[in-house]
Amino acid sequence: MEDSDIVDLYFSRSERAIQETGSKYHAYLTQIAFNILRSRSDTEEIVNDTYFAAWNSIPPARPNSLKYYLSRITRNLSLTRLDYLLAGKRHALEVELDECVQYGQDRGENMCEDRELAAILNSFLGSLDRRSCAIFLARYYYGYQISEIAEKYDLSERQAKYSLSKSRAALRTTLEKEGV
Amino acid sequence: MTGKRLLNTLSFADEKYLALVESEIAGKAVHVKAARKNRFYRRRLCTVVLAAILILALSVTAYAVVSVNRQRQEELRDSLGAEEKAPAYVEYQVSDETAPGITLLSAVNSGEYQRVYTAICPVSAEELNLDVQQPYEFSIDGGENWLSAFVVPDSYDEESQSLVLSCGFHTNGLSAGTNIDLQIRLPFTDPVRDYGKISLSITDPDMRLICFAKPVEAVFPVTGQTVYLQGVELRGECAVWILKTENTEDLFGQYNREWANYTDELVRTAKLELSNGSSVSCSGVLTFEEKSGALYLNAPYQEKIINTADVVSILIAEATITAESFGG
Repeated sequence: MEDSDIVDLYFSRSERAIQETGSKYHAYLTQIAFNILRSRSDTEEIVNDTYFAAWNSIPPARPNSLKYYLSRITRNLSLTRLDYLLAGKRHALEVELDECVQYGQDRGENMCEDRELAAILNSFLGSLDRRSCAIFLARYYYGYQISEIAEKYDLSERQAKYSLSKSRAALRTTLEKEGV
Repeated sequence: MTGKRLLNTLSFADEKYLALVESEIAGKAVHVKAARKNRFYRRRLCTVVLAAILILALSVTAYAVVSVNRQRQEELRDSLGAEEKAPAYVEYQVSDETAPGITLLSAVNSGEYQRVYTAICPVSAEELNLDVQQPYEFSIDGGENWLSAFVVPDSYDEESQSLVLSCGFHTNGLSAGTNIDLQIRLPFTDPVRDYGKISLSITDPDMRLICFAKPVEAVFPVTGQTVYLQGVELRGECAVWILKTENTEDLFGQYNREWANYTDELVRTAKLELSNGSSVSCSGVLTFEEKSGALYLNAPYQEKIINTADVVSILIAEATITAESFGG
């Protein structure tokens, strides 16, 4: 079933919307949640919560791409759950991205709006070559482990790490340039 | 600003970029298979050859016991491509015994970024299998800020219960010789596993500034403007190319992508020829900086750490600059 048809089902408040979403995107969403949480039981809950959140938000939302709309929900729910599970301790993805911000800086200063930061991040993603952009998002959006990225893109782990470190350095430069 | 906020805001990544994650894999599918097959045969051949060499070695000579940390130093040197006498690559004295706490193995400074390789001990099998990607953290400011330390793959030694970590940080103006205390901890255990601290100095990035007697001219094809390559600051791990051109605002705005590709290509095709007859090239521009009207393009070498004094000539933009014509 096409995404637009599934969205129409949500709009007509048909419960089939959930079934169709599940049959089309269950594996995709499970992968995202599992990558971040690395726990089967939590993953299952998060994917179910994603369906529930989609049911509550469509309408009024009418996503252009149902797939990425759902992926954002799953990702956000997974990151929130991870925060809870780690009880405030930072996890690896956060720590790696800390590299991109001034070391020792920021205790609230240089804050900009989420929308502004999102625009900077999108412009940064656009400045990367396709491969580096894919690898960066595979790690920091989808939460794949380095070994999994290396396998996916036919790289050695060293090459994958190098690509990520190069992108993080470029992001750091972009953020510094933007004064964020 | 924190890594956490960046991570959360990435949820707003544009869909066209998210689509790349899959399309870039799909595009590779066919030759990945072929590459894997080739790799399989290469590995198999390597295994047979290595086995033969090992049997031969064992049959003719006594097996020399090398401490695990010395062996690690050799492996790190190989993997980083460090030349024997590269001043930017420092190897620390290690003893045959693996002591609890932190042992310094080696360090390399690229000018703005210092990496320190350490072995930590003890690391239990349970800690090793924690379900966290990079669980170890380090601090160089007395524990105020903690950064992620990277576990060197396959570096765990069961016998000594030790593991190799790479701790990388921006030097933020700290010059070579400045003393720092490196602390390492594993925060994911209860109580937090503290590996203590160790003092070390910021290492020498081995900088050698070469100003070309006459700037090398190149043309940025998109706008037709001339780019003047004025020199290069050689460092052990990277080269910083210095160039001047006009309308840099356009280059970083309107032509940002084309300019990035052009400079990447420019430094990638450049070659540094060494006194031993070999040559080194750069892997592309990692970062750039504009100051005093000049652009500084930082380009790491391709898995190589050199002695900058060994560079005898430079090939860039179809020009060759020999040692005799090196300026200051």
